[in-house]
Amino acid sequence: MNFRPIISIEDSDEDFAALTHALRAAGVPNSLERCQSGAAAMALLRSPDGCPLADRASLILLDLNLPGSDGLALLSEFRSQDPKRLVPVVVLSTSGHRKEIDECYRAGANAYVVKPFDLDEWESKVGKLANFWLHAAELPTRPRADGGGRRA
Amino acid sequence: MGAASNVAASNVDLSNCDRELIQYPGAIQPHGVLLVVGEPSHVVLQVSANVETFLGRSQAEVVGRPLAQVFAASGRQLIARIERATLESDPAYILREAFAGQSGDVNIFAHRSDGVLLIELEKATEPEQPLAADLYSPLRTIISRLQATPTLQAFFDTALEEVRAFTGYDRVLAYQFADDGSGHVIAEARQETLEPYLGLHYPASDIPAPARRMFGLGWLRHLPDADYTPVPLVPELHPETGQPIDLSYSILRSVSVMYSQYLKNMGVHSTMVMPLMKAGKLWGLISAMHHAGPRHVPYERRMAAEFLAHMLSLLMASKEDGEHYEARLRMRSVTELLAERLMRSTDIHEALAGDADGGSLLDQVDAAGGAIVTDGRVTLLGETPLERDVKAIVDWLYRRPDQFLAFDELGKDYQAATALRALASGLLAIRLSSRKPEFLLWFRPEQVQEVTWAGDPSKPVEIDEQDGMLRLRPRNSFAQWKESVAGRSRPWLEHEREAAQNLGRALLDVRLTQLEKIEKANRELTELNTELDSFAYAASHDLKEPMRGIHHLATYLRRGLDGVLTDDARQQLDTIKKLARRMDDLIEALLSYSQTGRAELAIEQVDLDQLVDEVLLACRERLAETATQVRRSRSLGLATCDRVRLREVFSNLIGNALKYNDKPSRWIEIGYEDGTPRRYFVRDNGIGLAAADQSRIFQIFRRLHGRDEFGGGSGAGLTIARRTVERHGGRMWVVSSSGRGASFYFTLEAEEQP
Repeated sequence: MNFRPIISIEDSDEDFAALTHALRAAGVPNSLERCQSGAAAMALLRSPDGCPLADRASLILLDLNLPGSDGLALLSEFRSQDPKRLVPVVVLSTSGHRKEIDECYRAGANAYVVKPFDLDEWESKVGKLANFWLHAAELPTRPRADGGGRRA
Repeated sequence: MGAASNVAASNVDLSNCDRELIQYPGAIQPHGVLLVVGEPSHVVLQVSANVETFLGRSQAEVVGRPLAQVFAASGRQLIARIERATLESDPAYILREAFAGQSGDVNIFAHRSDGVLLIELEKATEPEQPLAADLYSPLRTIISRLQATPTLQAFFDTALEEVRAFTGYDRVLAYQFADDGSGHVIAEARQETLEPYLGLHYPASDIPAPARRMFGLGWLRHLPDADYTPVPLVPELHPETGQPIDLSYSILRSVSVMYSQYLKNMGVHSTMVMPLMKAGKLWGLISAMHHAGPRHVPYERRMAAEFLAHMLSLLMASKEDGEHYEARLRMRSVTELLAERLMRSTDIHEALAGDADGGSLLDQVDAAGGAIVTDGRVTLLGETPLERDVKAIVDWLYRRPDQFLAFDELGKDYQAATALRALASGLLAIRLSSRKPEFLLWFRPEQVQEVTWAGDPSKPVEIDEQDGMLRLRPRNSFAQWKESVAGRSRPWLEHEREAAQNLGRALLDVRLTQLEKIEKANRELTELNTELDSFAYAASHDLKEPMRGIHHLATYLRRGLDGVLTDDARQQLDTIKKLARRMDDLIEALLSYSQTGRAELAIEQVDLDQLVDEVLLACRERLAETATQVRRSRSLGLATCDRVRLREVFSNLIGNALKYNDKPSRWIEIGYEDGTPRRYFVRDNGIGLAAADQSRIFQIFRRLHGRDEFGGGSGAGLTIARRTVERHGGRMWVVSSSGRGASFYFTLEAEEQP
């Protein structure tokens, strides 16, 4: 179990509230950090303390339609900071457009989820999502770790 | 009337009458003497046989002698003047002289021809007079009177009266040539007792080509006495070259016996003929005739007459042009009107057919009928042949390379038009396209003309056999011979042809401009569409976000206040959620519609039967619920299309067919009708559509039924389906009537243009 924070990049207060609520309801213990804009997310990525992203986050939930920034560019930036894909990035979007979905995967997204309209559906989806990436999924080996497959 | 043709009458026959070498008559008229003199020797080479009666010296005393000796006293002065004068082709007046022992003075002229000097002596019949002062003043009066005439006809009437008064001839004619060399008398001034010739036509053979050529040189020709005996040159040929002397420009040149016979038949004793030139070409003649007896017009008066003829030519040309000027102006304004209308209208038929303000093809060129033929469409104006005949004419024209064609005897070139001559003896055609049979046409009806010929034109000359040779004589009879000219229209005048061509040019210009405009508009439209789609896409995305927020908040409220809320409040919260959900559906539909317009099609070979199987499988539950029978009478086969999108189309149509049915026993049928391209259909026995609804049904968000009747829906399905087939190049339509089921048809490629 990875207890590092989950980072949400989300400009909508309602969606962030729903996200918080859904994670809590699903019993996810990790703390939730929010970046309200693409710029804030960039700042977070370039944290001056030299601590790698993988040490600061367990999961990134990226809302694609951020104002004043290109979600895809942000995604690429994540991947250049974390070339081994130690931190999964899940894209949350209102669009089910094929072209966008494909582009996100090309840019390195681990998953692409269309935000359901219904709150109940949304909450259940977010819970399953967090549990999958934090519990069920096996991730790549961390570079300075004990050499085992599983991260502590 | 007739020609100043050649005289060496001995060898003219049917085979050569139009090739007579009339410039080599080998003889002169007897009222003067001709000396052929070598240069620079100034030795007399040939002389006319009558030399002794003028100079008092025999032929033997003249031929072979130097000029100075022949002319004795005046010889030196003569040679000096000849050497100073410009003598090329035009006889120049040298001096007036009286010879010892002779009764009167002679005028001496000289010119060069064929490398020899021709010296002509002509009897001076009037006492010497100062030329310029006496003649200038009447000429000036004549010219100013001519300038004031209102029409070309009045111009000639006046001119001929003046010429007659001025020359003393008892008949003066103006004669105009047609293109074929025939001609007719357009004006006449005559002594009242004489028979009128006005309106008479003469066949081309009456003034044969060599004579017309001779007139075209541009000088006055005078024959003082038609009943003369030609005086031969001695020796007959140039002693050194052995050739006859070219007398083209000679004042005394002997005319053809044909001509003199012709004149005698007409009772004419003397003529003076002046050419009318227009733009360097022989346009017609002014011909003065004397019936009363021989008439010798003195040199000075001839010069004045020649000058007058030059003035007539100039004035006539400007008069004739002026007569067309107003017509030209009027036509130009019509061209402008039509061009402007063409600019505004995309339909050339509409633009050129004219309206209440007038301004049609028929105003552009004066014609009885007109036709606009483009792309298989024919618009007829006025009196024209039937449409199928016009089409046949156009097919015939199309095979010719010409851009512009004018016929005033269409039947001659186009056999089939003989039957149409009452309507289309005349045709003016402008080609509009090199790749399609597209033309503007003007028609003129046959103009059955009574032409009064001077004698029978089909028998222009009489022939009698003599010395085993066919010999020609001008016809003796001047009985008028009338002929109806059939199959001809009024000719298309130069300015009319010009006007038609101008319109053709204006039309091509307009077409080109329009084409450019359309291309530009299309480009802009495409850009605009793309922009609009992007906009719709982005806008709907931004709309979805707050909708979800509203929906979520309503859900929180509902949860948090459960048990506290009244039933009304709970219901209202549910309504908020329902409305938000519907808004989301609409936005989703809009997004999907805009995507249909934007996204690239993934074209491939698609098995349509398989596609329909998939769709039916997806809605098997609904099929079962409604107990709908599915009929598939024939295989749909393969189609070239976007698999995913076409599945959506079938899904939508089959979904609708299932949805809009209230019959107890339901069926749907999926198939196609043969044709190019195939017409696929989805048919049902459902509620159908009233005629008025059949086009509205494809409009986005247009619902014909209550929101929740027949299972609801966003109202964009058919719009998207239609846009999908349109993006494939096809179209979608519905055939239905209320209560009787509906058939939705679509094609996947463009139909061929009819």
